[in-house]
Amino acid sequence: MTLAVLLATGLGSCDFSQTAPDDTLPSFSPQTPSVAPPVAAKPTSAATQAQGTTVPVRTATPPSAPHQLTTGGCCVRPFWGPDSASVYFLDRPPGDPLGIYRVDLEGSPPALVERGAAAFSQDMNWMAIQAGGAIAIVDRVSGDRWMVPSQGRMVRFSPDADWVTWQVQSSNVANLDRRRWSLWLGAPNSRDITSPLGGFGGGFIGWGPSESALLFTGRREIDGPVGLWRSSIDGDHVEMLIQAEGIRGSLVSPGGGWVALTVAFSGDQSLDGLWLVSTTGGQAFKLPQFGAYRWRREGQLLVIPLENGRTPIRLVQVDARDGRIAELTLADGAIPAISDNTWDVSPDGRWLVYQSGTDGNLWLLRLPGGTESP
Amino acid sequence: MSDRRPGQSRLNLGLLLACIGLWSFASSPDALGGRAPSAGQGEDPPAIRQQDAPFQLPFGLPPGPSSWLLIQPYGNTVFAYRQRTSMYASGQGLHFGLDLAARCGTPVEAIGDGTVVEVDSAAHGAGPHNLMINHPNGFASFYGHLLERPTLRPGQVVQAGQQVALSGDPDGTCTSRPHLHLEIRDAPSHRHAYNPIPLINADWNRIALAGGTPLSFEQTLEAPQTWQSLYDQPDVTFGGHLLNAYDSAWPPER
Repeated sequence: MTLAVLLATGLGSCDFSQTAPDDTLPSFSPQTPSVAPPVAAKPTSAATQAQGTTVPVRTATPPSAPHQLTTGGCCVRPFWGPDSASVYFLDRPPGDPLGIYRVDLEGSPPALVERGAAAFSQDMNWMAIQAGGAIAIVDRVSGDRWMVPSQGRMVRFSPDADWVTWQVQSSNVANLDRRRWSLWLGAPNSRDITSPLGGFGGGFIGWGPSESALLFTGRREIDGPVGLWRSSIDGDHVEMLIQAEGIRGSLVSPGGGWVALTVAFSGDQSLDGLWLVSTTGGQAFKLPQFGAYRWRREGQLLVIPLENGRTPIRLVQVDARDGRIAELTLADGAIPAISDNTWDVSPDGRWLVYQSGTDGNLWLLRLPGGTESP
Repeated sequence: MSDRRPGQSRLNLGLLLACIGLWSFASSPDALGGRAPSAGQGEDPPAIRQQDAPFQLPFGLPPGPSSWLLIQPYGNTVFAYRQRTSMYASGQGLHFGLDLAARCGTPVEAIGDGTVVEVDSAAHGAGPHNLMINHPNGFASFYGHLLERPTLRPGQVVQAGQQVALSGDPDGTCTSRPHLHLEIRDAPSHRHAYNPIPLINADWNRIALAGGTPLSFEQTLEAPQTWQSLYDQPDVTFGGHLLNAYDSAWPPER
């Protein structure tokens, strides 16, 4: 079984192809460059094309069938609570108020947890709500609230909720390559705000490890190179992580150490596909699979390959740290259809919630290959 | 909040289909939407129930990062909502077609047999070039943001799968947002647009399985589950009132 992994750095590309017996997992050991790459990692057509096949991952428990969490075609945009024990969504059931509702993993009747619509920090101790034409931050523990000077623009919490960010961009420029944006950030309970960086096209995508860096895509200068970038929080130190046209779908890992992204329609088919890029330097490789993707844990990505509808939905797990690629064993027809690419993995990596493409309800699947706990 | 409901809007399309004897609307995948009683996991997926959809995909290759990808569905998308009074005002505030990203110069194929009726019509927008084909089943297909003026002439007969154009970029750069804008309208008036998803024979939920985030539709806080899926979107009457003039909505407008 061959797994060729592309590692594109300024030092050149390395081929980690190796042969493994069929009953073992393929793996590779990315070599750490002895010196920092002199230029940004850039995918090149000369780089090795990944051609990995996958093997079933060994599971401590047999594959389980999904079970239904909601009824009546409910609901869209589910998200996980921080304890991985509840799934939340916005709803207004007949006769009940609008709000954020919660169901537990056994599919309990939805329970109202907050009236109105809101976006939450990962620990759910903070939420952002609409207040007139503005956005307010609410401390859900104390009840204190602050108005954010974002002029009504929605904010995002940093992973540890130490910061809120929002983006301002020119609205009168159709050409996305020339649309200017600026990032604003401040502490959630402060009016002290700053705009450390901006660019053209793309935009802010998330935080590096320990909230020590800002990650963004696009161009720094209107006619400059385009790619994925890392910046210090004050914006003084900016470096390109990968240079590529056609970046989309950037998704930062839970710990900020990796970005999964799609390169599409670049003109070089060897570059088009799903990439994993380290945010701490040097490593960027293209996966043999392309499709829908979510982070399961830090450095561990789940991919649903984009395949013909006549084939069952598959789940492939990629470990960015050691290169293992494994197909997770699912019960036959475990996931008949997913609606609108709506699926998400619990923070502990053990559960997958998805909206069924057949009935619109939320269903829960226990993921194989995870750390089993009582 | 609009007084039009998904059921009402679907009725228009259902009547049209019934009139031309193509489809039993009762089996439409659109019935998935709203708060219908739970159908259970054993129900046929949309791909199977769509087998009688009258049209085929406009690209010959399967979706992928080098061929084409669905980037904006039809309907009450977040993007359209934010431009409901400008770019999409004429379409009742909705995105009245499908946006399929593709590299400039990708061959575009007719989605069904028909007759070319308009080339580069200024009335329909979606520049720099566009094409309208009327089909004998009462629908028309519209192809926008084409790379160059199609060589076809009004009156020319085309077959399903025949190359009719090359995809382009509305900004003319081929790097900004290259994509095909595909609409399905009524023929011959072209005054109504329909959700192409249930009309094109493809497993759209599988096609949507690309990228790191779900498709996103704007939610009215009066009824947050309204028009929230690929398959459940209302018909559009060009020039009609906004369907998404919501008093309050999520996500926030900016």
